Amino acid sequence: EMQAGNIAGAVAAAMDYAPLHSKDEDVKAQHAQLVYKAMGAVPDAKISTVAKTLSTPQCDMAMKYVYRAMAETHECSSMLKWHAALLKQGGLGSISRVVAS
Amino acid sequence: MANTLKTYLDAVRASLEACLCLTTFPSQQVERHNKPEIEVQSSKELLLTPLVVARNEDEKVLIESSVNSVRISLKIKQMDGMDQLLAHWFCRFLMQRAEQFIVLRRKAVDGFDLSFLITNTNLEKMWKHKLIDFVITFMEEVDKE
Repeated sequence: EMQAGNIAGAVAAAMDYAPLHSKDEDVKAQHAQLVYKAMGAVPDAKISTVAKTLSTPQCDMAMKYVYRAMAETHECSSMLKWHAALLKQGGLGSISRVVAS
Repeated sequence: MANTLKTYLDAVRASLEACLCLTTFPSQQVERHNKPEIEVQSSKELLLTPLVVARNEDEKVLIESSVNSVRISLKIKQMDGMDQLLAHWFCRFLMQRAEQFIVLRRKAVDGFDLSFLITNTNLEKMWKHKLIDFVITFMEEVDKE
């Protein structure tokens, strides 16, 4: 999907395929790498437009990955930008849903 | 530099606003006791996922919340030995006077320099937005030095 140049679609698809109930840490780590790649491919200026295209559950998943990335201190400056854009799209609810998951 | 500080503090502020929804919760172990669950950690269902907001490897905030309390741990940027020493003294000075601050914790969480503990009783007496402003201003001031 990323090769097709449809980066926004790639981010959305990555959220849809998130391994939610997997107990295997490797699977989660691999998926996280994929998510970071997709999110990292979005240039800074386009972050807010991509964030707008995400639906609420996708927005929540994306927030989760932003916090996971920050916990691993991975690409923090762009993650902070993603945080702001997702916050605008999802509101405080998206953070509450991350905390309650 | 100033730009990332603003996004960093905004992210912290938003995370705090979402996490500081506390309610009183009497202890399930001991009758008539009301303990901050994040400290006691008596039951898994009472604790929420901890959040990390990081600006880079040296500066991050860990927000651990539970039903009646939130623990906010800060890691201050320390670039060399001198900075480390100053940060250590500064934090010790503050932590020794933790009673004056009410929300400061006397001991920082492992790996962090300073910790705040906010419980539902604190929120009943103090305004939530003022408390968040306090934490954010604190971080700003420390960053300036």
